[in-house]
Amino acid sequence: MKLAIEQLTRRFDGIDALIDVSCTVKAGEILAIAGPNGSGKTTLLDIVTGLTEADRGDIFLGDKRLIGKRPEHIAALGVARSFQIARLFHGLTVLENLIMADATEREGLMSAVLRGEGVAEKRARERAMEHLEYLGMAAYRDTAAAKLSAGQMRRVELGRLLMQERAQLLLLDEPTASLDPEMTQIAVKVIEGLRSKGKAIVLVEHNLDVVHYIADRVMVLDQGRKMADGKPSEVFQDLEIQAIFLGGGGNSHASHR
Amino acid sequence: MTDYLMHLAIVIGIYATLAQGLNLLLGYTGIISVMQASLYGVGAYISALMASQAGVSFPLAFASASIGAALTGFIVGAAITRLQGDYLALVTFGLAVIFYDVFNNWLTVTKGPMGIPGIPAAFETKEAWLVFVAALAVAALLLVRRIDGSPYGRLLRAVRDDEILASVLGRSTQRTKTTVFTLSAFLAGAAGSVYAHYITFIDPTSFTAMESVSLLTMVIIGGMASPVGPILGAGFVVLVAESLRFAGLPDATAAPLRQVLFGLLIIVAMLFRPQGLMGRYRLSK
Amino acid sequence: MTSFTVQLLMNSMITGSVYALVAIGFALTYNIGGFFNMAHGAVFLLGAYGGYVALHVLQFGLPLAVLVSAAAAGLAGIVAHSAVFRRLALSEAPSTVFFISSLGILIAVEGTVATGFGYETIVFMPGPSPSSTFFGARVTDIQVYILALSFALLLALVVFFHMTNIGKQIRAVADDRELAKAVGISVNGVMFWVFVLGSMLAGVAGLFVGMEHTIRPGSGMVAVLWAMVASIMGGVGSFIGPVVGAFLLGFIENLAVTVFPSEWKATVVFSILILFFFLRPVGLFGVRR
Ligand SMILES: Nc1ncnc2c1ncn2[C@@H]1O[C@H](COP(=O)(O)OP(=O)(O)OP(=O)(O)O)[C@@H](O)[C@H]1O
Ligand SMILES: [Mg+2]
Repeated sequence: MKLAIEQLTRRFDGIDALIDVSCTVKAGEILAIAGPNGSGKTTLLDIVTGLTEADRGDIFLGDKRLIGKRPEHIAALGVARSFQIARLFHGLTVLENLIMADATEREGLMSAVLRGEGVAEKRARERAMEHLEYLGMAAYRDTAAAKLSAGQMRRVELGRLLMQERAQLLLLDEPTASLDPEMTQIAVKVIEGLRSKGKAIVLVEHNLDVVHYIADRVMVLDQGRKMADGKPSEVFQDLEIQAIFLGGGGNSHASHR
Repeated sequence: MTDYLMHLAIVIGIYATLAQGLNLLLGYTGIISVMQASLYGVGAYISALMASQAGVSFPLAFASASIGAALTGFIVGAAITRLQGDYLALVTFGLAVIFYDVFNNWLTVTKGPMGIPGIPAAFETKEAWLVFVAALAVAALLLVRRIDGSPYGRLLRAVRDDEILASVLGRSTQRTKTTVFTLSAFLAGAAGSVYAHYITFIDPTSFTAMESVSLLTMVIIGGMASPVGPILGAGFVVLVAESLRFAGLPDATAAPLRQVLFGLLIIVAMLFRPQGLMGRYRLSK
Repeated sequence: MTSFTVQLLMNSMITGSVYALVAIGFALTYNIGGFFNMAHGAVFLLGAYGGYVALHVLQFGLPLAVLVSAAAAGLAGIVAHSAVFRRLALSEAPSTVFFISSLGILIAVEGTVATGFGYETIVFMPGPSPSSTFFGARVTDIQVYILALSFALLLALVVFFHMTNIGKQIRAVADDRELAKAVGISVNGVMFWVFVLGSMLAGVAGLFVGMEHTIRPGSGMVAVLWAMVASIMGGVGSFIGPVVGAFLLGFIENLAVTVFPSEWKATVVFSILILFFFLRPVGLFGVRR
């Protein structure tokens, strides 16, 4: 399914987080978003997933409009995401966190009362274990998420994305942050695997090597404005774009992080 | 003496059932409610009125009270669970005051402060009561245990931990919270009915926000998100309250002292052991 | 204006000014500490009963009783802050833990007061107070006193917030916590002063409520719930909000008792609160997502 973002605009008391940003991502395509701190990357993902309201603009996934829908409805349309600071249910175990990414229909109160462990739950657990093994987290299956290190949390988040088989659009907010080089490679492989399954992927990424290697296209944001959109090799040729990344020069502004 | 011990066990059983419902809210889902005693009151009044005014039998009155309270819980839950955390707690405070006003001022139905006397007792002997209440408390325990290990229980804990993440993963947090509110109201209504038919008299003073705070104490002391926690908590709180009376204090002194003690227990628990005696879960962001 | 209107406005002013004294501390604690402080009802109670002891046991005059109320409540605020809230803040406890702890303080203090004075309602001012007529509205001398002193206190507070160092620091932290920290303001130090001042004002309000109406151990919880309604209606986030909310609440309440039987007063007030939540689910001061 194709994601189409049209003229998205959002202002936070005095700060323009996004100004008239448009872009598209097709099924099986990876669009990287790059830009300095505070350029609006996370805000864009937050608006697509329904966590933040837009002032103006529109978003379509296939023929479905996402703007104005609640996060759970957007998720049900096939949108999955990860967070810049890995976000897990900290009181749940690693395994439970992965299973939470699976189908929702057996969570009814009635099936709890009537004992509804069932096949679906068992299969979800098996799938989750496979992913955990692949990510080197199998030993932590029963560990509470709160006890994990940042890198481990990141891996669990990747596992959660792998669990969301029905999702058609994946929004990843710096999935390689706080990963060591070895894990970064695994993460890149995971993302490539997801692309080959035909998912549309938006990848916010600070590591430009990763962007060069994996992205089909890159969109550069600066202070909420779209500065470029094209093949990574071409976009990063541009001197103006290079200036944005080299400490920003004239474009620098107060970072909020 | 055995009569007295049996009485204590029955009271503990009633409170344990009530606290079990609050455990689902506070322990599993992270919702602070200060209106659990109000829903308990709804059950007690429905049952008392049906039995003493309309001559309905206990089983029917008991069922109606549970369902009536659940319905009330559903309506309230659907209305207020969109609020987050502490705001939700504040609104349950307001609702507790409103429910109390209704119990106290709707004279034509509730008889106000006079209360409703002469509610027909459901069982003749203490032994029979004890068996019935124990069965109820065990049923509540089994229910919570089953929820604990089920996908539904996992969903509750997930919503408690991070509502935003739950919604991004496709869960309606409002719907989840409404179902758990309804279920806990169901348990409160059942306990209220039993209380009314056991004591055979009810008045508004049993259904105040302060009573709800005692219930919170039970859940917090016993341990949140632990199925046996509420039973221990209820036992602890009831026995502490009784031991003050045993120490020879007159009721007029024992009641406020009990309150002081509960208050201090809550503070100490929050400062040093937020997860309670049995709890696996400590309140956190 | 008819004398009915004058009377209504007059009563609303008196009720509102007392609520404002309670609401300010409650809202400030929320602003700076990030939690709803139920223990604010406890300091209110201690102020009220402290004032009662001063008036009736120690036979002090009114001005001295006001000081006793403020001192009792202020001290209690300091104890609550340093024994409980400061520790919780240091361990970075979530707001839920603050809230439940403050509830613990409220019921412990309520029980303590009831141990000494019983659960009965006590009357501070037996017999009718001399009164005068003002544009057809009847105002008692006590009411004039309450009104004058409340307004004086509110005015003093404005001066305090704008002229003193601590006042400015409190405003800075309430305005932007991170920025205030960055310029070297100690949030815990500011919190201390918020507890002292907020509690003193609530304590004086306790005495006023006792003089104008009656007091019982349950009054503490009622007071904090009223403060909460006022703060939420006016907007917890600003300084003027809770005060405006308090006067609005005073007006609604006095209007309500002319329409509904007075025993339903609390129901009316809380229904309005809940309605507010419905219209603005995150409260008046809520931020848009
Ligand atoms: N809830 C909010 N309230 C106020 N301002 C906000 C809010 N969220 C974001 N902003 C501001 O909007 C701008 C864009 O923020 P955003 O988080 O989208 O940037 P980003 O590109 O993801 O940056 P980073 O690389 O640091 O993650 C920033 O200036 C930020 O301070
Ligand atoms: Mg970001």
